[in-house]
Formats: sequence, structure tokens, C-alpha cells
Amino acid sequence: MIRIHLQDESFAELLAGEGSQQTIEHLRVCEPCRAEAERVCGAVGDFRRLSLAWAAARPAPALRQRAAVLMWRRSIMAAAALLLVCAAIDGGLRAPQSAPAVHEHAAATLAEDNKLLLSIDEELNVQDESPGEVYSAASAASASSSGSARASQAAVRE
Amino acid sequence: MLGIIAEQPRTTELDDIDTLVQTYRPRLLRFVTFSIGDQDLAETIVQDCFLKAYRNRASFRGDCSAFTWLTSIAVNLVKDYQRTEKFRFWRRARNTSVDVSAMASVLADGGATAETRLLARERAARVAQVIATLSENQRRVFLMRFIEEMSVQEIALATGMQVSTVKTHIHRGVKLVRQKVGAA
Repeated sequence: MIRIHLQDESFAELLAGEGSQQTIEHLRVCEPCRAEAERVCGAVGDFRRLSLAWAAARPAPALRQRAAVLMWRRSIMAAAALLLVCAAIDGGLRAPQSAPAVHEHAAATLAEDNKLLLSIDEELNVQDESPGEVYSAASAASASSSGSARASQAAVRE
Repeated sequence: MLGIIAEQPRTTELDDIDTLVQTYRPRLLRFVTFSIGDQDLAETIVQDCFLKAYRNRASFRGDCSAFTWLTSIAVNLVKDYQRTEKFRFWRRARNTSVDVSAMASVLADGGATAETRLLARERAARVAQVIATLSENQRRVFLMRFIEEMSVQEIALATGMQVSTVKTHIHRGVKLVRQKVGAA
């Protein structure tokens, strides 16, 4: 009479179809273990067969088109990401200026602006003679010259 | 040289999503359905799984079978779904659990008598009931080992568990199935 029946590990191997020679030998001589193995292996086998037939009968969706759309969308996203990275790199090359450098730049701009404003101011302050002033100065000069000519003529007559 | 020859069909297989679906969908759908116990959600997860696999096919190194790779993606998707509140809500509100009796109706007669078919249906239903009572990890591992016929190493790879942990889950699952199905 067999006192030790199949352990769970041996039974698991048997159920996976990997029973050892020792296990098979045991089943040959042990009626309870053989009956149990037939029940369990048979039931699991039935489940395996029926469930696969059920799954195979379920209609499969067409994934090719959806996969293509997803791949296209992914390409667009990748391109957008690349553009963003390029923009960030470009900005990064221009942007990094230390605080003193920014300050110097501002001071130089301010000095240039001041210089420009001063030159404009100088130009505006130049005292151009107006045509009226030029005319009155010229008439005054001619009047004085005609008066002295008359005096010299009178002196000659005398 | 052999490696290169062996990898070529895999690459081609992964490049054609229709072939991929045709080849592996039934097994993957069965695994996910009985892992989560909801056939509608399982269909969604399996669809996502194929799309994800197709998108990331370049990352498949060929160090395991395509089915093991797909299963690992499916396991991660199942975990992601299980974490969401939406999943918990739908699980409470509407569980479209698979009907094992309905499975038998799609099985071709194959010369089997009505009595044989009825017996097969009852035994399969019994196994499905027992599987449903296992813990999440035990169920996942049990399905991979005894229904999908994956090796312990493949299960470890697909689940990210240690080999010893996989063996422990197998041991506990088998113990319960023996008690519930094996008893005379």
C-alpha cells in the first residue's frame, strides 16, 4: 500500500505536461493519484480548449488603420517636440547674459541716447540770422554810407 | 548567424500588425479575460496591448518569444487599469464576466456526443470558478503556467517576479485546484 501520494510540486509538473519518470511510475501503481490526476488534468484541459475556442470566435477589430493613425500622430508630435527643442536652444543661446553684462549694455545704450539728444539740442540752438534781420542790417549800413558820402561832397564844395 | 536567422521572422511578424493579431489574439484575450474576469474590458486591454506592441516593436530584442513579450505588456496594462478608479467603478457597476457555458457553444462538435460536451462544459466551468477564487497574482501565474503553457522563467520575465515567487504562486494555485477539482 502506497502511503505517500503526489506532492503539489510533482502534481504541478504533471499538470504542465512535464511529469518526471518517477511521477509517471507513481501514477502507474497509485490508483487514487491516477484518478485525481485524470480529473484535474482533464478539467484543466477542457478549460484550455473551450476558452481558446471562445476567444478565437470573438471578432477581432481592424487595428492596421488605427496603428497607422497613431504612428502618424506620433510623427507629428515628434516634429513638434523637435521644433520646441530647437526654439529652446536658440533662445538659450541668446538669452544667457549675466546681470553685469545686461547693466553695461543698458548704460551704453543710455549714453548713446544722451549723445544723440545733445547733438539734436545743439543743432536746435544754433542762432541762424533771419532774413528780416539781414535786410535791416544791410539797409542800416547803406544809409550810413550814403550819409558820409553826402558830407564829403559838401566839404569838397566848400 | 543562427541568431540572425531566428530573429528575422520575429521582426517581420511584429511589423505586420494584422498577422500579430491573428496569431496571438485568441491566447492573449483568453489570458486577460480570465485574469480580470471581465470580457469587455479584456477586449479593450488586448487591443491596447497590440497597439502598444506595434508602436514599440523596435524595443523587442528577441530574447524571449513574441507571446511572452506581448503577455508582459498585457500584464502591465492590466495593472494600470486595475489602479484606475474607472476600473473599480465599472467592476462594481457592470461586470461582464465571461460565461463558461457560452464557451461550449462555440466549440465545434468534433464528433463528440452531447454527453461528452456537457461533461467538458461542466469541468471547464469548475476550473473557471476555482481560478476566480485565486488571488490576483496566483490567478495570473496559474493561467500563464497551465493554460498558456509558459515556462516558469517566461512567467518570471513577463510578470517581473522572482522565479521563487512564481513557484510559490504555482504551488498555492495547484493546491487549491487539487482540493476543488481533484476531489472525488
